Amino acid sequence: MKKMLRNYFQKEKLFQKRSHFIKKDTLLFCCLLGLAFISLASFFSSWIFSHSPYTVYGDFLTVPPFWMEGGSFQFPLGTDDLGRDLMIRLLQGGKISLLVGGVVMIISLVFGLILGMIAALSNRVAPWIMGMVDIFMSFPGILIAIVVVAILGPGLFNACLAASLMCLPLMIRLVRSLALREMGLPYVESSRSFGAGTPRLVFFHILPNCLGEISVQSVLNFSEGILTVAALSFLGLGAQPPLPEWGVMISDGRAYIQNAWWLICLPGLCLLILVLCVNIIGERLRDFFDPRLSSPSGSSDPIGKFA
Amino acid sequence: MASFLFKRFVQAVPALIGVTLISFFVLRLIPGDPIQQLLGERGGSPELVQEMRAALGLDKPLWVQYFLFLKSLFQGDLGTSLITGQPVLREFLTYFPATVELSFFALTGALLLGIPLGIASALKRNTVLDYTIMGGSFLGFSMSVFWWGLMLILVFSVTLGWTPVAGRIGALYDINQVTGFYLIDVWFSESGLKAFGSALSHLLLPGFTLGAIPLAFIVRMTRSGFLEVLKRDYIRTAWGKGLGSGRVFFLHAFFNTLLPLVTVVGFLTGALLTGAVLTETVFSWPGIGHWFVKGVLSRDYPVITGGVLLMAFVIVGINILVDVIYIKIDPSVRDLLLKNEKNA
Repeated sequence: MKKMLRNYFQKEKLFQKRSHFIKKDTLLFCCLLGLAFISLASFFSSWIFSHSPYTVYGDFLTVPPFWMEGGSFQFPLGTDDLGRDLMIRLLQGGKISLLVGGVVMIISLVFGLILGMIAALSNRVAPWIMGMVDIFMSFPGILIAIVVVAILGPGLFNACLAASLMCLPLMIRLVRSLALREMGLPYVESSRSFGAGTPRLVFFHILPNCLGEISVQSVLNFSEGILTVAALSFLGLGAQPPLPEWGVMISDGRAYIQNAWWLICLPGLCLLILVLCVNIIGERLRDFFDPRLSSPSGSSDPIGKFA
Repeated sequence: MASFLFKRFVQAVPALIGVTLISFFVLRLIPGDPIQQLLGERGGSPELVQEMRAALGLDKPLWVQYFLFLKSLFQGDLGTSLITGQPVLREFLTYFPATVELSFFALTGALLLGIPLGIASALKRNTVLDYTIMGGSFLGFSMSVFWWGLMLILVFSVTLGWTPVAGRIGALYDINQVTGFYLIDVWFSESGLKAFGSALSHLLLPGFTLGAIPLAFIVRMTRSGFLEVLKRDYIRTAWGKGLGSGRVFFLHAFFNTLLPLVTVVGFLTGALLTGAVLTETVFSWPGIGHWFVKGVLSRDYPVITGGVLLMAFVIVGINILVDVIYIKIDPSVRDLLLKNEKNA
């Protein structure tokens, strides 16, 4: 009786935790709201504001934001060294960053699933794939990304590919370990004994049961991709000026650090807020899907962000 | 022990060969011709181009180039930079001490700050202190390093004027490069203490930039590790014996919390030594990250291949070092690793 009660209370607690996830979590709510706001504002910015991020206002060079002396509401967040409206550029940069995150997430998800599944199912290919994964994982991510961009040539899309390749090894390892875990369970065994083929096992049994953990990793890859591509752009290996990518904008603003702090501060702040929102959502997702597994690092790949 | 080391080295060989293959072949597929890059936009006469190609060995088939590369690699020759004409190995060795100095400074700072913070966070679990520390650590994970560095420059160098913006030491000080580590080299020069102060002040901001993410990471690891250790049976026994909380926390729990940190510090060292690219770029720090990115931007093949290879060596070396340290300090790991070796 006592045991039953205890079990009951534990379940109740778990249930509370799960409902807590959506209902009571103010932080998560703020993050979702923030992400929604950033997405909407950046995707609809070109409809709301008539001027483009490339328009040069020659008479208004490095105008400060409105709350400072000399600022005005004509350019709420000021202008850059060429007299381009910083707010419009930041919003357009948000669009680019969200797209970049999406592209990196999808590429690493698709290839991670394919390669990870192959590595789990085939004993012959597995050592090769996992060997490559080990080699890649022993290097810091940013270094891999730089070398990939060196091979493909600088550019926004190539930087996305580089960031995806950087996220890929961890994804492959995750998919493989999850798939191996599921394949060891009795229900897969029994399904196989009923005559289910490999495709059926993969798509109807193994994949659906790994989806939670994989989606957590994907969300983290999203933010990882944004940060990496911004870093590559900052180094001159990713997006190229005059594209209003946040990393490029920070790199351009470096020359004016003495007298126009907003050129560096604001793009970086946007980057921080966006990545923070995504990371917190990822962390909460992780708590939701697997409370035991909350990783101590709080991030997928601590090496990746170094540097 | 010796045979264990030997086995570890042998295990590292395929990975290193893989790295040479990847770095050599793939980089040769880069679009863009280094000769054109060298000659500039106007280019040169076809004969000159041909001559330079032959002089640099770029006219031979790829696989011949690869074996020549391997051969010279065994002779310790990684080629010469196309841009500066210096041997790659020598360039690497001139820039490496700067990176080592920066990384160790950053990592030491992160450890000295991170372990106490992590333990404080674990001891005061679910209090405002804990939330603040963990929130700060989460912020560290979400921040872009280059922006963080620029913000530090903005606040401490530009606004407050406390620290210099770039470089390793003030221009006034003339230093003989004895070890390459300026914090040590300054003592061989005439203006010892002043030069030391200058070198240290140049190191502060880059160190804090580079150390930020390791700090966030170490805080989290320490906190979760400490909480994990406190759940163990032997801690309960220690409490049961009637030991005071100071003894339980700092003699029994603390040292076992440090164990997983060895792995973390090992891979952080590898990551910092080879991946300090952004910090070094922001602070114009003359280290290998900065050198490597310049090589990539100017398509300097020998620098890229040589750089990747040398960094791979550094990482492999550190991994082996971590294993050795583990064997020295953790008896259970020692038994595991050395037993495996006997069976094999």
